[in-house]
Amino acid sequence: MPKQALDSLTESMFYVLMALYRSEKCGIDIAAWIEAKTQGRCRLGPATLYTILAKFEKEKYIRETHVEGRKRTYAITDLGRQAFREEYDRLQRCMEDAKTEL
Amino acid sequence: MSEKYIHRFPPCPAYEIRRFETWLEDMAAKGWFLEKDPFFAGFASFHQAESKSVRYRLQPAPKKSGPFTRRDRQQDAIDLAAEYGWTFLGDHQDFFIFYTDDPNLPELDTDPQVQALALQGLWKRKRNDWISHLAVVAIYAVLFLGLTPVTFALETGWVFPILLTIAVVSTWLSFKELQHLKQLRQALLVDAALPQNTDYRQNRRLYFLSSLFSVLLVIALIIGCVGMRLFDWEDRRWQPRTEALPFATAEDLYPSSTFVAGEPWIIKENDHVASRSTWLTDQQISLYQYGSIQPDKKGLTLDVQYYDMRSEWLARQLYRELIRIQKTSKYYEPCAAPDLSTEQEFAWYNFSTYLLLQEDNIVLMVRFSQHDDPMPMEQWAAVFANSILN
Repeated sequence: MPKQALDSLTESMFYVLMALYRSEKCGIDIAAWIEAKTQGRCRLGPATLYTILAKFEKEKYIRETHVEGRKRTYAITDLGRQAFREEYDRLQRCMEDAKTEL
Repeated sequence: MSEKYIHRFPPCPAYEIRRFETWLEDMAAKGWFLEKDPFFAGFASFHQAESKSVRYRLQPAPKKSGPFTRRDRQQDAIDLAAEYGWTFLGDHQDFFIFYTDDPNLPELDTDPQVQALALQGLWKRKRNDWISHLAVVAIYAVLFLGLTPVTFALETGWVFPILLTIAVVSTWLSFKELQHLKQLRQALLVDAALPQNTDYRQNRRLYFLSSLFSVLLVIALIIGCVGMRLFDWEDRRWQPRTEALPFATAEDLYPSSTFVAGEPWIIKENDHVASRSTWLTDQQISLYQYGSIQPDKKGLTLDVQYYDMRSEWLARQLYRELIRIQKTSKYYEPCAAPDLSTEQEFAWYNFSTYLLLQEDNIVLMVRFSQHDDPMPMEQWAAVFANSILN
């Protein structure tokens, strides 16, 4: 179960965890990956990205793995993976509910 | 075009984000661009260049890292924005200011809920600051004022009300900021956007005047402290008695004898007067007399504190407080005050006999000490009482 502080994730937050799910990345690469994945639909501004990364670090969803000059590389933690899967499941249930109405 | 510079006072606080950003963008449209590290003493510096459409954005500054933390979180935020192409110009009132002239650059904030999260972090820090301000005001009021605010104010002079005003004003301003940050956050969560009030001219004068008032308070405090320290302002200097005093003295107690002051080297303020007026008192006089009554060779010590307060209410308040203070003394012993014609009278014993009188705006406190055949209290008390009744 995610901590109380992040009961639900925004779209941007969800995509950040998605970007790190399979491999670690640095900040700007996370934003580029998300933009490519969503074909430009979801663009993360630097302040949004910074806030999400700082929040996720504090909640121990991600951890910093190494620093090279200005670039900081992050990897998802087990807690982060769990949060991602729970959000995925929640969205899946939303989709299934929606399907019955269409 | 040769570079010119101007300095301008912002029309609103930084936490009125959209209004502040609009002001900067309007300045840019007129050809004035914010300098790097632009703020000094509240004024922003601009340099002149060809006018163009630019974007200025204010971001809540991340919490500063502690002195023993290796990582600088504020620098992280600046570096990340720089990777995108946003230029960091400086900070002002806990907000970072970024700039770009590239219209294709994505906005700093692209998720209103995450932006609300950033504001919440700032709000929490400001709330803790506000609680600290409130605690300082409360502790200051309770610990130092205690139950004797008038006496405390008399001792500390006008520095105290300035300090208290500064504390109260900064607490109120902090509260205003907290309320505004909360409204911003709610607007982001509900409307998915900051309030779009961009009219920075509204209340511009009020903001400038309130800022000026705050600065003047601090300057007054500094001048007051320096004046008190270097020039002994409000410091009462003991002077030889040259003028008649508005209360009785040793000579009045023995009109047919002569009071001879004791040797000055024993007690240097002997038969000297210290006088001043303050914001609470029209006149405040201290008199110390130690000597003997000739030809009877009776020793006598008088210590008189005279207060001509600005109002009768203050006089009554001071009267009550002086009694309260005396009662806290370990050696305090009550004694019956003689029946005098003053509004209030009170007496006690604390190694010497003390008399406290209050009449209209006047408060008089007398310490009377005479070892050989002392004058009865009724007699000397009446002399002092009559001196302030006339």
